[in-house]
Amino acid sequence: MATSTDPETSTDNTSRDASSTSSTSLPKHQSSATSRAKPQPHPHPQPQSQPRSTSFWRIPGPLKTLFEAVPLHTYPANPLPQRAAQSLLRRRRRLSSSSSSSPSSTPDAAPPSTPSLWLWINPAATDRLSFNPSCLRWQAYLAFLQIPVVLVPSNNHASPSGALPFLISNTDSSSSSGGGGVVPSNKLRRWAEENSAVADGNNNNEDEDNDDPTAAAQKREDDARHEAYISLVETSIRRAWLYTLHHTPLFTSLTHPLYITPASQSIFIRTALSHQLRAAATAELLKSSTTTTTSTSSTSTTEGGIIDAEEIYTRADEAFEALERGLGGEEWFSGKARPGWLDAVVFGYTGLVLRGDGGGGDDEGRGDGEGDGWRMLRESRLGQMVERRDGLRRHRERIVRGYF
Amino acid sequence: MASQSDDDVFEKLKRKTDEKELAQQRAESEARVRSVQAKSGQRNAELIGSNSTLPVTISSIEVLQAQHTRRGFLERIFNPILHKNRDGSTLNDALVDMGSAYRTLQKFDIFQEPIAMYYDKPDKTDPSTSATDLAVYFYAKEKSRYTINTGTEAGHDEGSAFLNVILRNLFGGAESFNAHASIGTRTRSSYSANFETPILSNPDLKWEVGGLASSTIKSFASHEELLKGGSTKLKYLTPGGHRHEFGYSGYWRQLTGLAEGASPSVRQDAGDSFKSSIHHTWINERRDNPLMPSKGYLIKTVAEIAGLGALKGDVAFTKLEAETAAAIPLPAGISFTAGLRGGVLYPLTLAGQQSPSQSRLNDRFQLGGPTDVRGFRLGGLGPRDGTDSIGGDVYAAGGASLLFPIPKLGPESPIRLQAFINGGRLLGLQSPKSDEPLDSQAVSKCVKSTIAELQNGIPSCAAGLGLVYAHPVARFELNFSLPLYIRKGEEGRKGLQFGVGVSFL
Repeated sequence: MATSTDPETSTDNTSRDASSTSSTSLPKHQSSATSRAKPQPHPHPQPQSQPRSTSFWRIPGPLKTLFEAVPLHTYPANPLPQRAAQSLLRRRRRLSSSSSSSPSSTPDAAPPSTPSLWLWINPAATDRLSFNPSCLRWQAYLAFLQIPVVLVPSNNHASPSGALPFLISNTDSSSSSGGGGVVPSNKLRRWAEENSAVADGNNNNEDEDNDDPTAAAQKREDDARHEAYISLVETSIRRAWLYTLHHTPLFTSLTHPLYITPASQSIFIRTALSHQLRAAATAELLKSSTTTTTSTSSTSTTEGGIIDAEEIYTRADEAFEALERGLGGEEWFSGKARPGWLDAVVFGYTGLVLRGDGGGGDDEGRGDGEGDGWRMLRESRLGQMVERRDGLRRHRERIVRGYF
Repeated sequence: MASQSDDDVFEKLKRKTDEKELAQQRAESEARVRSVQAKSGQRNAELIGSNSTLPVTISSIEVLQAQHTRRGFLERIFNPILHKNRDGSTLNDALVDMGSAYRTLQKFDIFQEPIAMYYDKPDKTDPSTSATDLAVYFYAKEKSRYTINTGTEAGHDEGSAFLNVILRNLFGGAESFNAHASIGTRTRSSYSANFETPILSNPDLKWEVGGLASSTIKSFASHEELLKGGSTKLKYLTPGGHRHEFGYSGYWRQLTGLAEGASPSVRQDAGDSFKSSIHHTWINERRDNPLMPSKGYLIKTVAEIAGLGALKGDVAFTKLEAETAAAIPLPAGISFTAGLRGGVLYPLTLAGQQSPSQSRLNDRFQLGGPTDVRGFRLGGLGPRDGTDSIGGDVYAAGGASLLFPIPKLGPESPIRLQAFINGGRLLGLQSPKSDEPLDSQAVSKCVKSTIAELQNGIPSCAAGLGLVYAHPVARFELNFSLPLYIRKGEEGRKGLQFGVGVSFL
């Protein structure tokens, strides 16, 4: 069962599993409906005979009274075992990433109805940043929209879509309704904009002159431009990220301690997972590799094709350059007072690439020697691409200071 | 054996025979064979009886037809007998020894039944023999060296197809290899392979090593569990009939494929974990028929220690389970059976951690279902988060049944009517301060208070009537049940419930 262990990619396996699970459990509910005392629409015998099939399913009168008489007594529910979600969520409250809370604020500040964001995060991280770009962008975006969330360290197996993050909208009600409020990442943006404390979410605040056709055209143009930037990030920068984290020494110094070590203490499992993870990343790189250039020195050949490191880095550099120019002298890509979705997406990578900021004390508590990994990442080719672009670097710092 | 009828055999052949006569002849010939056998048996007994103190020396033992069985393997069985009887012993002693060797050969399950045993005087012309020498011959035809089974099974909410391959007497020492593959609706796939060998040619002491990979849908807790791993164990059957198993197992468990409505408790435990544990099982089975007992008792305990010290792994606990069952025959073929089960999961501290680790969903007990507490759904008892049964750390369950023979079929048939009442509690370990992880002392206090909590109130229970059919392989039950007392959220089942299994409460 290959539920994606790759933190970057989501496969359809899990959703298929989930759907098949629910379909097998369906008969259970049907049978429960028939075997239990079913309130009958017509308690008195009908003069007109019903079709045989329905009368067959009717519960005879005496049986119905019997069914209604039991159980004789219902005691209060059994309390949950220790490790159950509620106590866990309470313990994780200290990780609450509401923009107002400072590290010194009381851990139990979040009210019980606070939604929980399940993501890749090291519980010991002092800066409370997820170490996964797809998670970090959501963490940032929710912070931009001032939606306080409880952060829950998790893994892809827990997610309804097979990839993190996902959100449980109301932790307390979910315990009675069976996790009904689960929002997978593909529906998270809509949920966030609906639940934002900030008026009208991201895109069209300060739209007083909405009627102005030129403004509307401008907005459409902005949207199209943002889409282009996002696809640049999703392809060029993502590929460089995948390459750097899985095909350079950073795999052992950063990816391994982040994704593999916490999964299990067992060498056996760690070895298997690290193979799976690397294979998934390689497959992902090959899938998106379109070039057929063969001449560069740092190509690594795999069975399915060629991963051209030089090409990957060149593309990423071009993408960062485009973003740097796109940002211009502005504070945010959104062009508004508050950062938007594109800012979150870009921060997903820049936030991590420059995480080993040599700030001394910040490395403490990250544990497992991954602090070294972050520094290596910053010094890597990918890191230097961001490092030397002042606009992107300052953009990152603004977000870290303002929202984390 | 000659008789007078042998003389005029040709005339008899010429004569036409009618059916009646044929039947009579057949009966006569059978009677004759029986009497011959009885007589020879009697004669043997008399012969042995009168010669029981006759000094004999077993000079040789030959096992014939066992082409694939190793000589060294058989020598381990027979050498002690040869040594013991070389200096001369009585005929009786020799026969007792040969009888036990015979049973040993049977137990390996590699020879066809019956194995024949003959005694003979060795050839007198052989100068190395003496007058007291006795040669023993076993005609032990080997069973087929492999068996392949395929089939389909249908059970409670489950259908599956399987392929089973058994290789017997693999290296000529009664080693066996068993490979099993099945795919199904609830156990989506399961592949296992086991190698088993007797130790020092002792059929009661065996060593087994095996591997398993499986994928099981656990709809009571909205997930699928993938297992990969292996185990090794020593199995010992004491002369008194007690079975002991002691082993080690290591499993990679992966909780994945969550259903859409999975609760946070299940989501939190999703992912990988490694269980490394040693375990011991003791079974003392004294029931006349485990699937439909009418008298006798059973005692079974299972102890498991995971993650302690050098065991490592991701989970640390001690699990103790005990089961006892008894059957009492009553007049008119009626029998009364009762059973009691209980278990405790005691959290331990993993190497390198400060506090005892809290139990995970896949380590906790589940209770309820047609084969334990009837009248409840599978995993229908105990704590739940939303609709998910997330299991408990302590449980106790008990049941009592009266089994009545069906009037026309009588007590010999494997079908009974049953009236039962059964119930149980399944509880999670509670910490007084829910926010803090427990230290070792608090855990011990907690376990005690949780066990005490088992007696709080009437246990969740159900009663009902049903039909029981004891097939040689498994027991089938169809019951009409009503839950009497339940806890909020527990899933009782009113109405019919079907159960298949080998172990019932």
